[in-house]
Amino acid sequence: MICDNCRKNEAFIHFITVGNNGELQKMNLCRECIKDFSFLNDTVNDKQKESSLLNVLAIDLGNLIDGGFADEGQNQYELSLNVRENKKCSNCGTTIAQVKKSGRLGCSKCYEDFMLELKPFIKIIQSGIEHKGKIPLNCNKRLKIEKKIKDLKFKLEEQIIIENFEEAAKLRDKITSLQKQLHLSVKRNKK
Amino acid sequence: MEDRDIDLKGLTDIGYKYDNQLKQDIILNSAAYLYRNVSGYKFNEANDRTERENILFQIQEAKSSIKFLNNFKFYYIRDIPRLNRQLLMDKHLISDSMIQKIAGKGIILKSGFANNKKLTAIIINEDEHLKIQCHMAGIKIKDCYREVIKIEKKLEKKLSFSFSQNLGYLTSNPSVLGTGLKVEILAHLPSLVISTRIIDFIKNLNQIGYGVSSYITDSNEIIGNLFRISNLVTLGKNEESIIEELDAIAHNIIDEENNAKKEISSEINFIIEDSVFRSFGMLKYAKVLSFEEAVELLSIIKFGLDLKIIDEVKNFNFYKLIDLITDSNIELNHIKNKKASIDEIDFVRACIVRDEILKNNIAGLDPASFGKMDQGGKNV
Repeated sequence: MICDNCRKNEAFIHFITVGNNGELQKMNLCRECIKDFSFLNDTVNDKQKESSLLNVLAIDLGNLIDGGFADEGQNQYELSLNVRENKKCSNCGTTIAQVKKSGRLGCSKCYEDFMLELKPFIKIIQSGIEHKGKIPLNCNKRLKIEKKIKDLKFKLEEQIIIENFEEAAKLRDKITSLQKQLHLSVKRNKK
Repeated sequence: MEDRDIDLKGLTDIGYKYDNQLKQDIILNSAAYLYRNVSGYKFNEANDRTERENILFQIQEAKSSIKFLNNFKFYYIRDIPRLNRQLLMDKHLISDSMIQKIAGKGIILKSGFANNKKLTAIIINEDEHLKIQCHMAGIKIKDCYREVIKIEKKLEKKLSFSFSQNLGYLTSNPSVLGTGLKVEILAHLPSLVISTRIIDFIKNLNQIGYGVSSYITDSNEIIGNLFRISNLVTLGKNEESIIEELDAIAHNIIDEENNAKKEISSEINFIIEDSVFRSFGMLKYAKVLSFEEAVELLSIIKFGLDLKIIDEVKNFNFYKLIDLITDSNIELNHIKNKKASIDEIDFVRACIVRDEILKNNIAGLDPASFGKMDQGGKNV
């Protein structure tokens, strides 16, 4: 299948979007055009983001793109490991070399400090780098809403895969209202 | 604070009540493990004795303020005698690393185990600060999970766990990062092994993110056609889907094993019959049996019983029996008050196995009567 945007290259990603009135739109894009598409950029304003399902899909496309270039990631990982063997965790003093040897980290700060080096490794042994499970009881309200949105997005993906667009549109609306709630609480906190 | 008065009975009689009604054939056992670290401390990989003791103290405080944990008893690892430690290892409750650098390490066990259907324990400062675990007979993955999450939720109210929004619960070992949840089943698959289908089966499991290991912890050797199957992925999936997947795998395994069994039973040949009867002969007349050998032979006898190749044997609970004949269990429950030699343990093991599987119990086979070999031998 040929890319709908440039009409030259082989399409790499195929997706379906649901408009506000429930109409379906199919789109096929190649690797080059995905990068150019505005919805993948962070510069898109919030209104635009909320009004479309595209922003939901954009996150998953982002993951897909990362997956597509896994080899590059791997090389980068090895390169960075060799250069930074002596990099130390600012909290516990564990070095990258020690982590490499024992396969274990020293403290929770290690995850922040070594994220660059760890990310490709975690991607290989786990299924993604995003936590989808239970969150602690005593975490703040914002995190709880964010978690709800994440869960709904996950459900939305499932519904899109089985082409149940009616349910998908409902889920999308729920996500939108939760996102509004989130924005409001953030604004309130700032004030 | 020091509590040197050790309830040894609580540490000797560990396990769960075997339900005779429960089908415990192919999937022998289920388990769930939940890993957590207390926030504000380094992980056990980088911390020292004092820090571990502080963590232990904080967890102990939390435990004593939770009503639900009232019938759980706390033990310092340093207070537990060698044999009881070995028993905890044989029951897959603690790993090897737990009995090294024992300062600041402890275990919280539910008391009155023998009357419970669950074996629940909280391990403090093993590889992670907390390992909450539950073991049950048969396919009970969901129940095991419910038990561990219940305890975690109670502890969560008193303790704060290391958590990151993106990576979930943080652990020193990145392979349990995220949900921090490992679920496991123990499967007995003689037919899949005999038909050699097990190789493809394990390959398929690996592809969907599940790993297979030996019955004996930290060993690569498969004994007695026993396979422990657990999830390799803990991040990027939620708890429910991890549990549902393993549950589906467990049911799938039963179907596969039964199909393989059917195929074998349709064309039983003298080679298979020979191996079953040979195993029977060994178990019937052997005077000493190592643990590995006994498990191997019992597995084949169980297979022969299921295929109705052999009828000179009592139907026995395979898992219950192999649980009974570990070195630590024999030493603790059958050879009391003296340090037993390996030969002595192997002799008692052979007696226990004979007693359990032979239809007519033979007089003079009291396992404790080491040295009366001839009498037992003549009667057989």
